[in-house]
Amino acid sequence: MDKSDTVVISTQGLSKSYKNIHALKALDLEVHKNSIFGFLGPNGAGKTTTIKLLLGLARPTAGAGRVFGMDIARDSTEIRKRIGYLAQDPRYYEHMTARETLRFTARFFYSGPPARIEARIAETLELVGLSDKADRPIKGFSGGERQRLGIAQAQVNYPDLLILDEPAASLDPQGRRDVLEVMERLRKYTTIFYSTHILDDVQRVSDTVAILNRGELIAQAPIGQLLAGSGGTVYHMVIKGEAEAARARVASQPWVSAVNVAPRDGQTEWQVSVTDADAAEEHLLRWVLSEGNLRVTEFGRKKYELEEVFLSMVGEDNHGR
Amino acid sequence: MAAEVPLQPVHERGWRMGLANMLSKENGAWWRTRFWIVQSVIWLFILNGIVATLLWAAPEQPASPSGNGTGETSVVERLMAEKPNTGLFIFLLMSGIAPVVGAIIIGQDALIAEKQSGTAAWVLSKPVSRTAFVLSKLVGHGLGLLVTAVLLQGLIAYLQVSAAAGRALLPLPFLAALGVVFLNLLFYLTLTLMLGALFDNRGPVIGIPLALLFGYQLFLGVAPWLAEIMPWALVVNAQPDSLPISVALALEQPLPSITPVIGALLWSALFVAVALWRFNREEF
Repeated sequence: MDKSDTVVISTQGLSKSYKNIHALKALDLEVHKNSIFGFLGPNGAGKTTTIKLLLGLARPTAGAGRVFGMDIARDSTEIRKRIGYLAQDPRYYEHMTARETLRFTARFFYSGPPARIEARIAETLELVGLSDKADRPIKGFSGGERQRLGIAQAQVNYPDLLILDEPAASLDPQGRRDVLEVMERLRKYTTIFYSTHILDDVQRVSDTVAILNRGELIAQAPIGQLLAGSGGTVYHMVIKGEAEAARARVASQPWVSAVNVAPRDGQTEWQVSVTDADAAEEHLLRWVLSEGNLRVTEFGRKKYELEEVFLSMVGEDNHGR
Repeated sequence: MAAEVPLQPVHERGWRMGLANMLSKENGAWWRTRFWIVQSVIWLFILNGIVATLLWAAPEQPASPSGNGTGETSVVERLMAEKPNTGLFIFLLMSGIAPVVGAIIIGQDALIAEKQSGTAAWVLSKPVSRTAFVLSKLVGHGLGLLVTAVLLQGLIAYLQVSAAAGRALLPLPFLAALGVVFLNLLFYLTLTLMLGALFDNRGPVIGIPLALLFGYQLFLGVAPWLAEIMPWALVVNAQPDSLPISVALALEQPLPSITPVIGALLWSALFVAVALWRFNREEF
């Protein structure tokens, strides 16, 4: 299979500067077909700039990008035929109703037949739960309703790529859950590239994640790989009793790279970093238990939360500057 | 059943991409709302209201002595001594000023408001070319103003002046005069659109066209040759003892000059070109 068939977005050294501010520095990104790609970063990291470059709303200062194999600078309008986009702070014509807004949007993609377009609009309104408000002017809409309309207008054209800039930022927990459900439902039809700073959402629905900080990409990996930790495999143990001798014995093993010890509720918590997971699984628990005076109350391979990974990476990156 | 018929994709390409939908939206803002009625009524009161007052309510003025002190009357004075001609003159003069102010107010909002509110960024994230976006504004507002402020008012003024004269005016010269009035309006509309593409705040977008509209005597005092290349002579007396081109056309008088017509056309084309060039480089 041709690479352009599986890679939906690719950028090479994509950069954007505004006067002396480097909003995006040499971004190399690859987004695969039918993935839900979470684009993370603190405020001002360059997420929205990247999205605007992909959509042709801004021009790159350097580098290149391709969407569906087409150049983002030269073929922007052709690319946008296959994209649905929801802005971070979506703005519509306030005098229009939700239905009129979707009709206006749909007419950029479809010339007819009118009845079929209207049917698609009704279907989309139903999907986002706005059917009962379809004929009310948007100026009376709440933030959540605007966001739902935003999702509706972004996918009225059955896009091959859905670009969502902070889709759940202004929603209440119920609204957020609904948006995530819509995203999960759409994943079999489309590729979803979305920026967010709500890490729980990313962990829940994304399969690939990229982390951007101060305009630079600091990580891009499948979510599982990222959550496994970048510093190798780590085992977590909580031990009752005097464990210093056991710690020294474990630390001396060639497949153990570090043992971090911390007190916890009168017990001792170990974080054992290993280079050979098989050896660790075979020996680690057995050796500790062979010390007769020790009891192990918790043991397992450490699983990171995305928030931990994110804060650690962004923190390291900030300190390294 | 409608739902079983596949959706037909649009087939526009290049700069025309999204144009039909944008034109439908811009025309809809004029013709599928009450906006056209409001505009028609405003211009009816301002343009034809003044003409009606002059033709039907103002008393006959005795012929005034010649202003040149020789006792001879100029062609302009002789023509203006007839009330219907004066009515026609006032109508064409006012049509060259009042709707232009309207065009500037409408035109300044066309791009600036969309840039400031964020709706331009939203629309341009769809498959629409920036050229189509700008042209739809020009065509939508140009057509709206042409119908409500020029053609409709022209028809009513034509009927009024013909009734006052007791004979029908020749329609073709009158239509040509309306064409010149619209060309003048187009000059200011395209200028305002261009400024809306160049600037991000409304001050210069409104201020520059208004200064050109009302400050023409000042500019002509400094550089009289501007009368030949600017559109002022289309609707006002840019030079003493000469008729505006629109009035000369309507009254079948010799044209004082043709270059302002060519100038206005060229300026308008240039303004559109600059607006398109700039808007195609705009970042959102």
